[in-house]
Amino acid sequence: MPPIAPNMADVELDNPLPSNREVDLDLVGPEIPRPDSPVESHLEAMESLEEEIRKAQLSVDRDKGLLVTMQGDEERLKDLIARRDALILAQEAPVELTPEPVVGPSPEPAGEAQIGPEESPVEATPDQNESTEALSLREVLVLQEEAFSARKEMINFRHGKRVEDLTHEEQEEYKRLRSVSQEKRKVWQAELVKLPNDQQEDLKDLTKLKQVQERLENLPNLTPEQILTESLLRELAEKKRQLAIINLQLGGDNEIPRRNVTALGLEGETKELRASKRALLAQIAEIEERLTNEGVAVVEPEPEPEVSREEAGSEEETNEPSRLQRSWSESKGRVRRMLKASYNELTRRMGEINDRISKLNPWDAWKRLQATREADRVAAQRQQIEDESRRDRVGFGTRFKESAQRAYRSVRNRLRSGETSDETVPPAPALEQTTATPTTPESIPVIPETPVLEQSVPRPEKGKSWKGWLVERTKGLFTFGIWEQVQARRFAKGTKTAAKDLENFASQIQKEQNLSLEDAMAEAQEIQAAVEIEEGEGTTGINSRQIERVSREITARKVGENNEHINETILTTIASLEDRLKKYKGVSGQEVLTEDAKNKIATEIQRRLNELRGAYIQEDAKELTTMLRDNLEPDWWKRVVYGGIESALWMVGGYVGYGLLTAGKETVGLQTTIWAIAKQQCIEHGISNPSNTEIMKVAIQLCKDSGVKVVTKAGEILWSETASGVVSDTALSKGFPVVISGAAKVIAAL
Amino acid sequence: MTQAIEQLALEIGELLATSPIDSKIKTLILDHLDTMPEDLVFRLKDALQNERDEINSVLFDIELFMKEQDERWVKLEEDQKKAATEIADELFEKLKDSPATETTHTDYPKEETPAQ
Repeated sequence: MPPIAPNMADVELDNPLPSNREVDLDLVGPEIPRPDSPVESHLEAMESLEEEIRKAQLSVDRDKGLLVTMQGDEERLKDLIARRDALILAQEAPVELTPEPVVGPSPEPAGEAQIGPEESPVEATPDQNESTEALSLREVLVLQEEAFSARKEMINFRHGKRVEDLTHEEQEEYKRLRSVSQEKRKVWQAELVKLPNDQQEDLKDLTKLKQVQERLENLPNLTPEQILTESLLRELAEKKRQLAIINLQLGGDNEIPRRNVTALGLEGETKELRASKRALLAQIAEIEERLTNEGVAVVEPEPEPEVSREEAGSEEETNEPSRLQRSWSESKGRVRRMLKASYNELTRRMGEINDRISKLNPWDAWKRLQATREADRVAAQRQQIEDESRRDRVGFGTRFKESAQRAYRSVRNRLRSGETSDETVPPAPALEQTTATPTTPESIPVIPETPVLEQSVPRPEKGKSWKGWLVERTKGLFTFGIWEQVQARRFAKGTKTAAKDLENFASQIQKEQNLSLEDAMAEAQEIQAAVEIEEGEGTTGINSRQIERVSREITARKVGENNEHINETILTTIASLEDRLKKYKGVSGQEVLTEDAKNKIATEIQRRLNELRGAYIQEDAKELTTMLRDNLEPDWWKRVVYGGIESALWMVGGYVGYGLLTAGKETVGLQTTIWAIAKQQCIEHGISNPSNTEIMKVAIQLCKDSGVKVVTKAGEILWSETASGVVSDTALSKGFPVVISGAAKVIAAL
Repeated sequence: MTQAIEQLALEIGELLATSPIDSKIKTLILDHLDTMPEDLVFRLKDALQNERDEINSVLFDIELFMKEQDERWVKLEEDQKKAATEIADELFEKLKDSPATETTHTDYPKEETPAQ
């Protein structure tokens, strides 16, 4: 963990009671005194940064000015922290600190720290992932880049190719690339989890190779002075780019803005854009002044190509505005998150102050007055953020939604009308082709829409392709597999229905292969056994069960075909045998084999041929389940696919997505803190005066059930038990549905 | 709305239509796309594109497996035919000299049973 200057703790001097966000800082201990060393310049730069961070933090906390000023302060604070982290990163390897071990104060026992308005305990949770063997952030990023590059190479190799057209050499090459990709992915994931939580959190949005590469490029490997300068120059460039976007949205640098015709097409947006422009200009001036003071010549960057409204509509310019729009959107998102965090922090602080006031003696008039004034000041700050949040127009607007809905309906109707034949397997698009080619509904590769379980099980005629069937079967993995697994992991609702699964499978085989139920069951068991041998202990998870199901079905497809072959073989063999016997014996028109004998011969041949097949089933089950497991590795999917979808769900419409997921669970709306709800639950369940330790146990359960992770301001996990949560406690808003179903059980065990 | 944003809307709509995620979730997302934070819209698009890539990967791999499986099982069928022929030859040798009446009542083809 990087050393934290003592002055970081001073930030809260106005507030005698420690907040939960300070607890981890207190545990870090004093700054390490360092002797003169070759890294003195690092330390000086670090001290300088710490001082700036302290000032910026104070500014953020105390600023009563205009909102735009607050935004600037927040951004500056974040940037300073980022620069400090970068400095630490650059310092990591060469620095040899004093031989004295770093001994901070002993971690406070649970029950003495705070999480909410009440005095709440926080277990000192040392980073469990911290390891002396852990790679640096840069090294992990390099591994990530390698993994993503390998994946891209594999996808590009198969792009535009059809499996049936692949030569043996191409098949082998593809499998080699796949193997390399999966291996690199494993290596990267293994190292990723060793990073401190805040760094893992920091990297979670990097789901594209390009993003990883950009991040790597931006990671400094410079001297401290260069880091500072580079950072300032980057910040300057970013601000200027944002200014260019605003100018574009306003209709030109010096033009009079036209109402209701801004790029986002939102009513009254012009005013906000002007305010943002003023703030940006002020920030640019400030950065340029600092650079000048440091003796750095500010070179005017290449001007952004002017894009007129007419030109903006041309195809050539389509990608650039998208990139700029994305950059702009991400900046806005960062600001919103910081405002939200500040709002939560202020709310927390208000609770603390009110709590303090309630405990004051009636004769402590002076203290009461001071506390009241402080509460008013905090309330005013909070109101300011609230007002700004209310004014902030979030989202691309109604027209955007309508366009998306039209496209959605168009593709869905096309799928329903059967334009996609079962011969169509979606072509694999080249990776990272996110904006290169404008898409139309017609150009999108399609996957049949109808959920697999709603369909009757098709059995293609002999000789016809199984692709449609395959697509539907495989789709089941995604519809009911990984997504459910992600949810199940959060809500711990995994179930076991193996016996039922087997019955369903047998019933399916019965339909597909026209067998008796008994035979179908025997076949299902045969395949099931083969799959289970390969699945081993992994058969209990939902995802594993889905893999198992698809694996069984794909094997069953082949078994079904082979059954027909065996039947044919038996008939031919017996007919041939009978014919030979007749010829040999010179029998004419008489039976040489009775029906009973034929039946016995058929049974025996079938037994022997099935034995031969058993080895193939075994081998297929092994290969198929391994391949599917590798492809459907949950952590990978959660990171590169469902992380983004989950984030979207968590944010839309005041957590309506969450409401969907918690349907049927008992919840209460968040009013102040989860801690307060936990305490209330304890009281309601008979613990009239719960201790902090008891409340914390319940609070942890509430967080776990509700998918909430308790983090520090820097994003580090504060309560390790809640690490698997999806949304940070700092991001919760009033009314957030906290799942309380699990509280009673915890309280009963207290 | 700029062309780039319009394009983004189209892509998201199309990606959602082909995504296998639950239709309730799709509806939820579509209904709130107007007020979804802009940066999350881009993240959503990335996620949906990644999902499509991954699904295509799985489909491709399964199809490749099935192709190889078909090739392997062709050999199985050959082996089975060969085995059946061997059984038939064996039976023929056992049954050819037995009287027709006996043959019709024999317990063949049990391997351990003598061919008389």
